[in-house]
Amino acid sequence: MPEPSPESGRDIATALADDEHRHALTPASAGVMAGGVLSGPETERIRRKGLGIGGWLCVAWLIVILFMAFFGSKIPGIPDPVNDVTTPRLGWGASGHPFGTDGQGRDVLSLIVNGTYNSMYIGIVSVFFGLVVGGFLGIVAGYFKGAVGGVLGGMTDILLAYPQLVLALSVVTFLGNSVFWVTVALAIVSVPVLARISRASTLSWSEREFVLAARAQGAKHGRVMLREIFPNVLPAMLSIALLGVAVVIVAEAGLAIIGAGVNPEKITWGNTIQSGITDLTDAPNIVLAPSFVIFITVMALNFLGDVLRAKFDVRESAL
Amino acid sequence: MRTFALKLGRLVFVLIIVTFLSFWMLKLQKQDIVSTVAPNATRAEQERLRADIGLKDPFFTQYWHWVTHFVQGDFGKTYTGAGAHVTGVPVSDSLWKRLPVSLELMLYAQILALAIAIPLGVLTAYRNGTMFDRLSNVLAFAMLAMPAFLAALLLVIYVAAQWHVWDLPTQYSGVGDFPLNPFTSENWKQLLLPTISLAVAQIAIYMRLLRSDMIATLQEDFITTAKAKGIPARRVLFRHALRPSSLTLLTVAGLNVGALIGGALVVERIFNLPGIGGRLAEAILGKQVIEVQALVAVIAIIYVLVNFFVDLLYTVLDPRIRHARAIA
Repeated sequence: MPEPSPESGRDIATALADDEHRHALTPASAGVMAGGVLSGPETERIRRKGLGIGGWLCVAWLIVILFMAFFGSKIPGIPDPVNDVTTPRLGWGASGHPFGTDGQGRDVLSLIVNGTYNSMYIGIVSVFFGLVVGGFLGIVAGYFKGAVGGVLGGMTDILLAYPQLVLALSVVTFLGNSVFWVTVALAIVSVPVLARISRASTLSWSEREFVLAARAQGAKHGRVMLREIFPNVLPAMLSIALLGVAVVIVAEAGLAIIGAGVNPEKITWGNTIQSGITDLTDAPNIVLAPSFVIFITVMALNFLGDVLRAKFDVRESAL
Repeated sequence: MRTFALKLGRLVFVLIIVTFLSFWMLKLQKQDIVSTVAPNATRAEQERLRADIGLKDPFFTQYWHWVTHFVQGDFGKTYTGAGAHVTGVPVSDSLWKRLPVSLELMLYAQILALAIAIPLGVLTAYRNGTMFDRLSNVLAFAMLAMPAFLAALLLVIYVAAQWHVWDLPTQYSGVGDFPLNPFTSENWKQLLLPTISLAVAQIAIYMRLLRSDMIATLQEDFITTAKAKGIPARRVLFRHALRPSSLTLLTVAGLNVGALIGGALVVERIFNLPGIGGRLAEAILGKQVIEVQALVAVIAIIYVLVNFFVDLLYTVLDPRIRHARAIA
């Protein structure tokens, strides 16, 4: 088919379609992390009232988690995971060991409590890094649409061309399996996701009148980005970051199960699951207890992320 | 045609970068590569391996050597043995036998997830706000938070080991004899539980997405028109309203392949399936970094290709892009 004037009418339509495509693309990267969970009326209710019982339960759970992370074995009744070793593979509800013991006789509850620090550290630090770097790149890319945006967009696209877990796994394998490198690996993975979200959000805000007004008053680009756009993009980024922490916690466990997780001598939730993988039939409690803790934590983070999104009216289309 | 050429150009560019990154990542390793893959070999043997792999060449020569061999299906070797005799087995040997298992598992999971999510998504959108909608909302919320490994562990421990509802996959010693044919019951016996555990989270993602998309579509004028014409509700829902949402669903399904790959690696490990995930775990354990590099590159390339085809399909399906072509 001959193409008489490739530049004329075509571009408006494809630009539209491309734009649409991009919108469809972005909830997906969020969708990979977690889709919107609350329904319309639910969202409405949250905006009007507050967290509700579910929300407060989630907050309470996260406080328990943080408490566990900070105090570990100092909490009374929690044995030391390394020194207090007893009969291996005790089941649920054994006396003194409510979650039983693992293959080496370590108390599973104590492993969970003491693993919280590392797991949460990996989750929070890597997502924070992703938030800072990805947010910066995304806002710059969305604000300067032309060449800068194209180059930055291309860079994030290439990082997104790797399946997340596979990218993290190779970083850990080649660079080392300390808590530091696992955190770095998962931070690298979260950068493009957060960059993409903040870019899409910036695109929708940078067209608004108040941005134009700020420019007209002579504000420099840096100031406009920091003072006008950043505060508006932040809620969307924070809600995705909450989901991101959940994803990273799951990824840490996944890496541990594949054998590319944190050094097995360190206690994390993932390593506790990994240590019980060979005892699935004899002592399912070893793998199930930490898995359920991860499950509940992910649920709490997802819920709060959604609440945040509803509160600040982060429209799905802007994501 | 022009958009296709552009997309193809971008594909080639991304492939070059992805292979380069995969290659470069191994070079970032602090330890010497040969002493990592064959730590117990003699010095002379290590020297021989170093020359054999081509580690003495300049960086870009090495990359070129690696890429050209890679394209021809030579992914490097995995090394066994010690002392003066280290033997290298080509990575491709096990790769070609294991890759189909992983791909089949992911395909099944994707099909199962869509088959359950589409009707549920349409129905919840149609019955928006009812008891049924709320119940599936809560269920989806829980499913969304459930990592694939938890679903897999629950299925292994309860359904297979304790209740004996379904047999665990048999352990295949030789990966070649895995029953790949989807029309055999043996194939289903092996893959049903892994498929379910992979599909759980996907079902929730697709369902939520389709629901919110459809609720918006159902308020459009053409739906009212269709209803006014007396077309039965089922036809309006599945023929008229589902069509515009299918594009979003397709894109997300394509992008989700990345999450699916990650999930499949973990699930394979739990079920001991002879797929790529199992091999990858063994390679990591045995410090066969060259093999890890090759497998990572293969997985990344597959992912890039899948997204390329989804993108193409998208262009074909979206009427506005078709029209755009007609205008041009």
